[in-house]
Amino acid sequence: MDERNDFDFEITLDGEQVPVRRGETVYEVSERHRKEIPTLCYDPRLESFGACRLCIVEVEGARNPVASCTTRAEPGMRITTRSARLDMHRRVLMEMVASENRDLDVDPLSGYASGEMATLLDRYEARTGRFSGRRSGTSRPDDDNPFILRDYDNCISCYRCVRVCAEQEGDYAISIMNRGFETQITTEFGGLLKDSACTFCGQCIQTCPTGALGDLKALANANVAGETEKTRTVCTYCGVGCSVDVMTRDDKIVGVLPAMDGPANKGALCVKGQFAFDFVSHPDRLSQPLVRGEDGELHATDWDTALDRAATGFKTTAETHGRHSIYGIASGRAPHEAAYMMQRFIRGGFGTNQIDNCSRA
Amino acid sequence: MSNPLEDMEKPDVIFCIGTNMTECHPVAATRIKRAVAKGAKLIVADPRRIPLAEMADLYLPLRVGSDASLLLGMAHVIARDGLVNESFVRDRTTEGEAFLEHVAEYPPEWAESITGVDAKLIERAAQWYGSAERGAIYYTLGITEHICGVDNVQSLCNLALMTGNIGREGTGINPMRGQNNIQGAGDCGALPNNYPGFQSVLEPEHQAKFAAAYGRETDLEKGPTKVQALDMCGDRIRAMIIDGENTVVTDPDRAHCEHALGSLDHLVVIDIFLTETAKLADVVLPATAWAETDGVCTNTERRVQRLRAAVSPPGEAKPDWWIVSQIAQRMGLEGFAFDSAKQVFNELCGLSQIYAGLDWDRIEDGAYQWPVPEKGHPGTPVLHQEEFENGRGIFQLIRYRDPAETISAEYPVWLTTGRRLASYHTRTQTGRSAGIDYLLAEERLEVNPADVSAWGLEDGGWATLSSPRGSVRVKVESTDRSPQGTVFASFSFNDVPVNFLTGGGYDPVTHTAELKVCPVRVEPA
Amino acid sequence: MTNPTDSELFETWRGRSAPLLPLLHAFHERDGYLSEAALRAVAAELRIPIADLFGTVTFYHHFSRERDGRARPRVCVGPICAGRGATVLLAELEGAEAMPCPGRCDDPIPVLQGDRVLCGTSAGELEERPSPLPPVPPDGTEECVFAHIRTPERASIAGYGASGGYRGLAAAREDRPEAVLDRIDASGLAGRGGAGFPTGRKWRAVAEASGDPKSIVCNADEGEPGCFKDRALMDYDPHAIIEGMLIAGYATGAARGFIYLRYEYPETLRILESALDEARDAGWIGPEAFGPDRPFELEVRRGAGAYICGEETSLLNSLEGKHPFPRNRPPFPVTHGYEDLPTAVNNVETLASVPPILVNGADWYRDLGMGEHAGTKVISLSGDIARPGNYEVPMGLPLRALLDDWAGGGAGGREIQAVTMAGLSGGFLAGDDLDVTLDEPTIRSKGSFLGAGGIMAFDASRDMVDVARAAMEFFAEESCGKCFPCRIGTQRLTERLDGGGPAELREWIDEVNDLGRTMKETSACGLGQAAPLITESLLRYFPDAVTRHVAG
Repeated sequence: MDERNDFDFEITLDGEQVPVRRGETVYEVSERHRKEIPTLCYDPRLESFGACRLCIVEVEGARNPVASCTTRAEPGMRITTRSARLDMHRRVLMEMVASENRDLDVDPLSGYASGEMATLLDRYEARTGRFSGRRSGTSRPDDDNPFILRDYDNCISCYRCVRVCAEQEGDYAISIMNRGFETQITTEFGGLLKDSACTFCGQCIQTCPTGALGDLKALANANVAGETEKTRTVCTYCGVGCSVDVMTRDDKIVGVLPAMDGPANKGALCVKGQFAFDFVSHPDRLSQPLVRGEDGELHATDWDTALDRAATGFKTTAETHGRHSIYGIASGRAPHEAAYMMQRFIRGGFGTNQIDNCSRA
Repeated sequence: MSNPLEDMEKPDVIFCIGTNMTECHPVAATRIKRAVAKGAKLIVADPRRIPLAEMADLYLPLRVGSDASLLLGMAHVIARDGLVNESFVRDRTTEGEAFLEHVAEYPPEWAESITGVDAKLIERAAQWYGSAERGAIYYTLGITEHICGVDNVQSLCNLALMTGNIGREGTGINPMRGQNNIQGAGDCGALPNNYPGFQSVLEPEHQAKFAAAYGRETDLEKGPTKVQALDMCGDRIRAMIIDGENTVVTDPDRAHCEHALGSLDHLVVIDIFLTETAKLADVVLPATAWAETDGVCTNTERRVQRLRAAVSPPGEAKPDWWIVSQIAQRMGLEGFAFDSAKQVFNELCGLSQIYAGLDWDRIEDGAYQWPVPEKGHPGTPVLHQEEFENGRGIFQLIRYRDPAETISAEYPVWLTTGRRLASYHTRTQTGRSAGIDYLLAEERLEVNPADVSAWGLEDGGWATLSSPRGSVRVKVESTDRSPQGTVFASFSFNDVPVNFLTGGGYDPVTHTAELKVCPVRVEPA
Repeated sequence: MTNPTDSELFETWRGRSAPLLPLLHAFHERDGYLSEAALRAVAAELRIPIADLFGTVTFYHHFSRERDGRARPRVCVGPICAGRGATVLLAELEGAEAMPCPGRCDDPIPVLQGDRVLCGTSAGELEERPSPLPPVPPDGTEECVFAHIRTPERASIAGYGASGGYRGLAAAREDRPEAVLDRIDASGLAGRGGAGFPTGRKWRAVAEASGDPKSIVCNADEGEPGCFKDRALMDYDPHAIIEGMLIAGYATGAARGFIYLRYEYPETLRILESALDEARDAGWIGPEAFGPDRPFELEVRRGAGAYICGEETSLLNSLEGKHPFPRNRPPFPVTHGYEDLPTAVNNVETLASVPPILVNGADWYRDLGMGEHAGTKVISLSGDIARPGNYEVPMGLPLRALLDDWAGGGAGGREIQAVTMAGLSGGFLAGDDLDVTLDEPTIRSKGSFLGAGGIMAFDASRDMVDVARAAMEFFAEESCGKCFPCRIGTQRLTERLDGGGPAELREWIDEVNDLGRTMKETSACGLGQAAPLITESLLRYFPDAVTRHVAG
């Protein structure tokens, strides 16, 4: 598809004329042209904020570099996204950020974006230990919630958690306390998450670029051996249909990531979709067919026995009481194929419409 | 939903009624919150001061079960104040004149006398919605779980039709579906009145089509609904197959339900846990769960999406479709030899006009919202854009009806039921997921602080809740979320089986139970 | 008198513009602190998320969250007062807290206690006294904003009128707004708060921007250490500022104005409020300020102690009740200011210059400067100088002339080894660079800037590394925390001036230079861009002191 008609004007990007839509930021245009401008405070779902300054670019005629995420492209602009000067600033900025944290590397199970800082430290060779000094942020080991790690010793004050909670989730549970280097991510009156407006949707975890906020349920599986694999599916709870990537290791679910490109949710999830996944491996799961014995109790058996018993029961009943004596209730929780097969069984098997589902409760 | 989820950020007036969306559909609610942050006006009608009410510009605290009268009062004001979209009513609807005459009888003062909502607030709500450039209605079971559920939905349609708030971006009548594939169960024809794709079983043409496909002709009459079927158990109905539904806990009047299933000659339950319902079965068949199953589901905006298996199932658990097809084959039925979920889904697509343009491979990215009538069709994010399914939108002349049971000297308190954020349904899943108990460890009956003292209760103490069908014990939470005279409990916890109490009546059309209204007595326990 | 109830306070402010700060102050005053209950009530009333309100309150110095916290004495530990024994006084006063410079460097040491400012260099001497008037300039030097400031009763509307007040506004109203803009353009008047943007161009941009109502905001958040000129203007000539704002409103088509006053000027607040009442009673302000259906409303809003709120976009966020981070620019306030509508934010001195320009003419103003430099600039001079105070100097006056001829030279006849520029933001000038003239191009050529015009003098007895450390500590404390280079950089520079950082001199200097360069070029606002001028100039003028410092 030729999209050229959608564009309004051109700018010069690293010496090349590129088309721009009115209102686009320099960062957005640069992303489209794969300039791989580094960022730490940027999340494409949120309003540009301009805190980390890593996305600086040079604009011809401007004395200082500008933050590309907050600068709108204007007709005729001449932009340089890579230069020795920009690299120098980016490296110093990364060295500065590294100097305020306890850990530079965290377990990737911490969250979707948790490796962003470490990746940039490598890219800019910034693990130099320069600018050492006091660390910022105070961790909250006192918060006993089972979902969200609050390890602010690794916080770099990018405010993505604050912004995602407000702009994406609309909960406004997280805010910024104090000023400057004393800045601390907090909740109302500095309390625990459960005493705040937090709904434990986990969005703050998934946008945190350092793992200061981490997924405690996933991290509890950090010792499960094997590579982490991801499988795209849809959440099992309400009807919104949020896309998720299920993380597995060694045939075990170790956590859930929201799918940032999920058509219904665009990366959003709620507490159930984010954290209520381990029922799947609960010991209460039925793993064998059961049939009721002479003693009136249910007993484990093999599939052949159970299926024959099920089939015989329907066959006998229909023969004795007629085809209208059979009824099927399909599930609103199982996939299409289940519901389809249930109605096919009733219609194709008995020629009746004695089929319904649980949508009435 | 008539409109896609992303449209929820586009209205300038949002009317939420009978939907506790921030708790039951949290991710959809984020879009409402964004719309409000951008300046949309939010009207919330709900008996309880739910979180959505806290963020509303206008909150209408109506009495449980009085929705139809509120909506009549609003329709009256819209007509009275000249806010009717004349051209839309002329070009796209029928019975408009009769409807406008009808609502003239129901001024907001009348609605106030039934709902308990100040007539001025009803007027303001009507004026906001009636003057909206893009007004959208969202509702859930608070509208449908009544004996007048259909009337309530129709009343909302009337409002949308008279103001032309349908068939356009950012408008519509939008029910939020409560279960991940409840929409899909209907799409697939698990309904007593419709074949797959909502093709009526009363049409000989459809009968012939499915007879050809399934090798057997199906009755040209509707089957009984689930509610009717439960009433017939032990009588006409002698055997039942239930897939993944904890009927005895979720349905009203639990004693009746247990008795019904117990009186069957043969009960087969397919599930992932040994639920209260499965415990009554003759045969219990272990199914694969979410993340263990390949398949398809449809969300509340009619988006058809793929489910993918990520882990192996426990033991010998099998996909539901495989289990059912095996039973069929062992009964000697022909045509049930399927190899894969893909094969099953593709057969469905071939028989359903709303899926005609889809197949297993095309839905890989979840890009389609049905109807997709042919290959190459882009899908239909917004319904009713040019015309309604049956041509014109028809106004229905709804009258208010009292709930099946109303409060009395013996049962003086309204009980209403619902879900909470951190629990889902009967907690078969959330109750077995680590950490959820931290947020919600036990059921609490929400009681207004004034009632707590008036009834001799204590915050955190025990109460007995009784209806004509039974009693349950529950801990009390004193909270302003409940208005005086109305209490709330969820049906999530098996040790507080509130559905022993419910079950006063059913909608005559859908047979949806009146789970939202149940007069009870509340006493210290 | 009984204390007002919550609902009475809410009733007072319901439906009014910019209600958050005044409501918080009302609860703060009523209860002596901001209780959790008060914050929850305010959040509910204004529909602000409670987490946000809590966070925002903690941003400001002076909102106390501890019972009776408001009444605690706050002692200035700014650069001048630190040299006058502030730490001793702080220890002497029970329950006292340190505060950054509250703008009384010409009368040290100020102690803020509730609504009162007490001054004195020891606990026993503390007394409430009027703020000092500007010293009289050398013979024959014509002044603009100070021309009438020493006239008795000038602060009252009667006294102001008797000495020519409100004639500028009358002159403006005889003309079209367009003509007023032309005259301001012609005068060469530029922002006197530090940025130096041409006032006429700013006003024209507001006049031409779409969106109503437009606003005039007077930036009276004089938070720069060593700056106290706006205090003098507001204390002794409040109607000049009001008149300037009215002319700005008339010229731009604005219908409302706010004076955003720093918390540390409680007497000034009373003076401004009384002047506003007089102006309202006289009809200058009100529903028909500029004629039938041409209203102009004007109110004071009091800050709560945050240096960054002197940055115009932080100020606007603070005024709106938001977290006072600076905004990203563009868009600029002239199109997207208060409530996202066109807004002219002008400094007190700039606005006070406007009425005399309209009375005496653009040429008169332009010619007050020396050479090609237009107009005058008030310099707040303090520190080791014989006669500290506010001096309105012709633009282009040699610095040496100000220090020696106007202000009597170093205190006690001692030699001045260095001065700061722009309060602290311009860093130091020393040695031969003390031979500059007081105008922006010349001072910028020395790697500094004139800014708001605060100059602090330090004689040879002062340890310049320690002065630099205190200065950087101030910037670190006042950094808003939004952008990385400033938030981390000010902290790391402070640590390095306080004995931290590499032990090896070359590495130490490299770190300080690298931090400074990245802060200057990538910080989001002026605070982070200017702070490294301190270390840069320290290294330039005092390399030996730095060497000794690193060697420990």
